[in-house]
Amino acid sequence: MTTTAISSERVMEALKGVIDPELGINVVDLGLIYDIVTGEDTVRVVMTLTTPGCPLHESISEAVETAVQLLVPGVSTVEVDLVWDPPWCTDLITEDGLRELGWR
Amino acid sequence: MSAARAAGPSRTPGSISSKHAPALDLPARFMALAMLLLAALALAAPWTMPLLLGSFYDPRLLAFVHLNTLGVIAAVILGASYQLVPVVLQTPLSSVKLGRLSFWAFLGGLIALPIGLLRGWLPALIAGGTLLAIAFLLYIGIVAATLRRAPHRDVVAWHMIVALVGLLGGVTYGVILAINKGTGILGEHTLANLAAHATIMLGGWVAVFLAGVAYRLVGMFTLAEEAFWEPAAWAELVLTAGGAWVLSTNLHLGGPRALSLAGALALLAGLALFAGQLAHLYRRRKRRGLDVHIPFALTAAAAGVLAAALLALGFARQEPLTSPLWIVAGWLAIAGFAETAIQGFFYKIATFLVWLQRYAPLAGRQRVPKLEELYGRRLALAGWALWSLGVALAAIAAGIGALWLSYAAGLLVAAGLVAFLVNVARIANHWRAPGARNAGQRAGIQHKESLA
Repeated sequence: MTTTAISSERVMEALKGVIDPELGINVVDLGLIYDIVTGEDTVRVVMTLTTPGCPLHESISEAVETAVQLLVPGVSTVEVDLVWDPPWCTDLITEDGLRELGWR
Repeated sequence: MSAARAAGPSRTPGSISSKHAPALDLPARFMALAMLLLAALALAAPWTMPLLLGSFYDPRLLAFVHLNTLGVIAAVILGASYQLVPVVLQTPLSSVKLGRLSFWAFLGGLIALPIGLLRGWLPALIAGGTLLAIAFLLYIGIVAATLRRAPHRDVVAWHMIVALVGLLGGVTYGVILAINKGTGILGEHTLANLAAHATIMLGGWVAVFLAGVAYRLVGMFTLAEEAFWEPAAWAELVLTAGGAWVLSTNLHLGGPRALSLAGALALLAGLALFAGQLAHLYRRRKRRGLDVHIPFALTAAAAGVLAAALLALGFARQEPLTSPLWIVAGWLAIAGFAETAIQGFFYKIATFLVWLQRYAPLAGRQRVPKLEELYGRRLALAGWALWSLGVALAAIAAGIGALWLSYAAGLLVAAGLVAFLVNVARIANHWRAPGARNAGQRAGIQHKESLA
């Protein structure tokens, strides 16, 4: 991972503002973000969705792009790379995400 | 940040998403029509429930049944499938223009047919029947052409295909019955053909379609896709559709009761498998909270099983065609199964469509509401309880011939529908909702400030 002025943590924080509107959980806690690669003024988000048939495919990936553009200073280009391998599974949900889903 | 997880070979899915869905006005006009009809049925419910105590030949009962089956069930299925089929199959709808044309034919038929049934007025019956046949044939053609172009066909796609064949059969019986109204060609076989028409429409079309939709949506909503048991879904399809076809064909031909019993038992087994699959998915769901659609879907599945069990019981006991048992089975299939399932899935489909239209462009810029924030959850659950109780009481009243109970059932059904429709209005209100936009902007600013 390239070390630059753009912080990956900051990108992750920005992505916590993007929710899956059906489940009500942000894409980070849902385990959809696989990797974040930052450059000088670029960010590449490698992510997936809960199912390849997700009808929210476009709106979620566009929301990810928009959130990074708007909330992370110094970013001029955001690339969202949607991948299906490895497939998403429920083991990727964080503790916070599980609590949101009703697991105590 | 260190790489959270090693991503595999990058592959953009490209064709998967709601981008294949048609313009929203196409599903929305069918949905709006269905909601108008539901509002009318809610207002009339205290007076229409006693009709279930009467005879199949009562023209008011026939009109009431068709307002439910066409005005609510068929309208929602047509609208939902114009939206869902392209998304599910990852294939654009073959013709949106013809889809819009099908709506106008459907609307004309929906107005004319009940008038013809109620008044026994042949020109209205012919006009209504013809317009409805045109609407359904257009729908079948559009969806069949879309299915034909789909890159792959899984068990859900096959449910859609088999449901279309069932609808074609049901429309054919409907046309025969309409001709019979003018000519009397069916004679003493009229009631048996009416039963064949109802069986194939409800068992061969509606049940198969709703099961297919449920298989696709339930796993996704509840994070239980990994638990989906595909062999059971195939077996359910064969049994439900096979049972409906055997039963309706045998009724049409006036075949032996044993064959009708076999068809009803197959239908029962298919619907029991569907109910079992739903229960299994809900048990294994990773989203532990009780999503609003769950009680609706489970109630619907239970009512479907009960309706099929009553059919089987009726054939086993050789009940006469005039027995109230058949009306109870029909009511449980129409209201208990189809309309309950439709209410449950409407909370998911309508909120999704509104969210996509209204809030998707704002996502990432500002806080946007969750789908379940578009309506009142407690009101939805109260509506489910009132509606389910009302439907059950109406079935009991029809079974035992208790008029006072049917009035009480009508009030409960009306209250349940009002609760549902209030939520529908709330969802629709988000279509423009400037207040929500401001709230979202404020939340977005707060989120931005917290990052600064």
